[in-house]
Amino acid sequence: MRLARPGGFVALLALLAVFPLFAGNYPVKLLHEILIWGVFAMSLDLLMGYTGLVSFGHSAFFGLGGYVAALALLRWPGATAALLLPAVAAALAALVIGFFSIRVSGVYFIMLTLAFSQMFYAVAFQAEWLGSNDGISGVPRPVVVGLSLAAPRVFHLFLVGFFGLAGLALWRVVRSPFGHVLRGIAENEGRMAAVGYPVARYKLLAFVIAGTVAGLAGSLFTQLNGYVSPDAFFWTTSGEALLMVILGGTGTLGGAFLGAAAFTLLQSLVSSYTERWMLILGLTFVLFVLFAPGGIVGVLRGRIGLRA
Amino acid sequence: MPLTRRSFLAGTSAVAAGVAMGPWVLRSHAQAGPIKIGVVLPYSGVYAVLGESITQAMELVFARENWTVAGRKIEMIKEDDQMTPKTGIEKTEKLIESDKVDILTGPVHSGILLGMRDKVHNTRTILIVSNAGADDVSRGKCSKWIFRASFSNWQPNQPMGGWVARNVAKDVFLVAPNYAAGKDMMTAFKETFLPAGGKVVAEDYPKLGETDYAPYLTKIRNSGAKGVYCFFSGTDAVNFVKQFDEFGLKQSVRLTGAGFLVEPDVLPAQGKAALGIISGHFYTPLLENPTNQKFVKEFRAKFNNKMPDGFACQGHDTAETIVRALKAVNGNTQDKARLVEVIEKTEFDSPRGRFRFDPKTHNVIQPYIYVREVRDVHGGLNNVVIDKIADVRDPGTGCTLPA
Repeated sequence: MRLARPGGFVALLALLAVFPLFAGNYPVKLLHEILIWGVFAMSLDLLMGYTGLVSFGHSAFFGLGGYVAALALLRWPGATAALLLPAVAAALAALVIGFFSIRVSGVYFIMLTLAFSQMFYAVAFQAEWLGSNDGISGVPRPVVVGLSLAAPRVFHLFLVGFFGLAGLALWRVVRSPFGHVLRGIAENEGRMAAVGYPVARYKLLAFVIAGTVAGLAGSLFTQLNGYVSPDAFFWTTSGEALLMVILGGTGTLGGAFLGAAAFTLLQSLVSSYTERWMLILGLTFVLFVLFAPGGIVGVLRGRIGLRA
Repeated sequence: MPLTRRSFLAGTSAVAAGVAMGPWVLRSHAQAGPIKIGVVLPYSGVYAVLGESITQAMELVFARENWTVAGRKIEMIKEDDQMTPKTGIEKTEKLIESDKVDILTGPVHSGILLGMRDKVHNTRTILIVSNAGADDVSRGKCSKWIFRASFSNWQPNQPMGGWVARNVAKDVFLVAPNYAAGKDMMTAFKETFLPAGGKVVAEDYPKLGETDYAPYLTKIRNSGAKGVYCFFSGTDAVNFVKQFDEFGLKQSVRLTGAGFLVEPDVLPAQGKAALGIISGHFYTPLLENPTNQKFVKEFRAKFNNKMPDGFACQGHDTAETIVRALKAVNGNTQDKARLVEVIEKTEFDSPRGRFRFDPKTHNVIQPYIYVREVRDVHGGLNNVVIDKIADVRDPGTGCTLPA
C-alpha cells in the first residue's frame, strides 16, 4: 500500500482539530471514540493485515493500558501515569503473551490469545482492589507539560495529536524494511525463514509494537470516560476491533480508521432508533464480507479507480 | 494536484463525518417544548426484561397524566445501554449533550451508573436511578444531582441478617456470585447476623454465570449448616434454586436470600423448587395497600396480564417522583437547584409503602423490607409477606452531597 501524501493526512488532522468549533459535545465525544478505537484497530491491523496474525486477544492490552492508567492516575495525575506506565505495562504483557502465542499459528494462535485476554478479564472481574465488576471510576485526567487535559479543548487536541502520532508511527513501521519483512511473513512464512529471516523474532516484535499501541489506546479510553471496567478486557472488545479492521479493509491503516468510524457511527446512531441495531450491523457486515471483501477501502479503490 | 488515496480518504471521511453529524449541529433546542426524560436502560440482551419492566411502569404513570405536566408534554427518550459501560456512558453523553434532557433516569448496571456518575455530576444533570444498586453512589460517590428510587445493595440484605438469625437458623452458609454486588450483599447481611448470635459456617463465591453448583451444594451439605443465605439473580437464580432442590437439600437446609432470588422474572422457571424460599425485598405484588392494588390492576390491564415486579415498582416510583416534582415547580425545568430541592422533599404513597428520599444521601428510605415466603397461592407461585422491617435507610458512610 502506498500512503503517498502526508499532506492529505495533515489536512485530515487539521479538520479533526477544528471539528469542535462546528459541532456539539456529543458528536465530539463520538469523534473521540472513533480516534481512540481507530488507533486500537490500526494496531490490530498491524498484526492481522500486515503480519498475518489474527489475534483474538488484543483486548488484553487495551484493558491493561486502561487499568494501569486508572490506578496510576488516581495517585499521580501526570504524563508518566497517562502514557508511560500504560505503554510499558502493555509492552511487557505483549512480550510475555507473544512469546507463547507466536509459537503456534492459525486457530491455535486465536485460541491462545483469546485465553490470555480472558484471564485478564477474569482477574479484573473478581479482584476487589480493581473494583471488581464495577470497575474503577472517578479517574482524573492528567496534567501534561503544564496543560490540564481536564479542559475539553485541550483534551481534544491531545487526542488528535495522539491519533496523528500513532498513525504516523504505525505508517513508518509498515513502510520500513521491517514492515516489508512482516508482509513477507504474512504471505509466505516458510520462504522468509528459508531466506534467513528470524521469523519468530519479527513476529514477536510486531506483537509487542501492536500491544503497546493498543495499551496507549486503552489508557486514553480510560481518560476519555474517567472510568474503566472489566469489559475493556472482554473478548467482545477484541471482536469489535476485528470487525472494524475487516469492515474498513484488512491490511490498510486508513481502512482500520475508517472501519472504526463506520462501526462507531453505525452502533451509536442505529441503536438510538431501534433495539434491533445488531441485526443491521450484522447485515452490513455480512454484505461487506460477501460483496466487498476489501472493506470500505476496497470499495473506494474499485469505484474511484484509486490505485494501491 | 493528483488525487491520491490519502487525500481522497481525508476528503471522503470529512464529508462522511459532516453528513453524519449534520443533524446534531443544526439542531436547536426550544425551551418551551416538551419536558424530556432520558432513559438509559438495557433493551437488548438477557437484561432486556428488566429494562422493559421499568419502562412499562414509567409509561403507565405518565399515561395517567396524559403525558402532560403543568401544560408541557412529557417526552421519554429511550436509549439501549446494552449492559455495557462503554455504550451506557456514550448514551448518557448523547442524552445530556445532544437531546438536552431535563431529567435522566436509569441504569440497571452498577458499572454504568459509576461510569456515568462524574458526567452527570459535572454537568449538573438530575439523575433518578431506577435500578443500579451500587452502595458507593449513596456513600463516597454520592451527588447532590443523583437520586435513587430503587435500592442500595445494602438495603434488602442488612435487615435480613438479624431476622434469619432469630427465625431461621444460627448456623448459616453464605453463597453469592464472585463480584462486587455479591460480596457487598453478604457483608451487609453479616452486619446484623453476627450481633444477633449468628455464626457463618462458611462462605463461598462461585463465578457469575456458573451452571453447575454441585461442588458448592456438596460443601453446604457437609458443612452442617442449618440455613443458606444467598444472592443470585437471572439464570443463576434459576440454576441455583433448581439444583438446590434436586440435590435434596431442601429437606434439611432452609434456603433464604436477597429478594432477587425469587422475583417474578425467574419464579416461573424455578417452579416448585422455589417453594418455601424466604427472601427479603422492598416489594411484592401481593402487598395489600390501595396504591399497590391500583398499580397491579392497571399494570396487568395495560400489559397483557403481566404481573408487576420489584423493577416495575422502581419504574413507577421514578416516574411518580418526576411527575410530582415537575408539578411542584410548575413545569419550570430551568432552575435545576430548585428542582433538586423539590425532589428531595417529594413524598408519596408508592406501591411499596410511603416513599421518601433520605436527605442525607438522596437514596430512597425503604418503607419496609418485607420478609417473603414463596407459596402456591392465588393460582400460582407468589411471594407472601410473613414479616416486615420498617424504615431501612442506607448508612451513607462518607456521603456529604458535594454541590
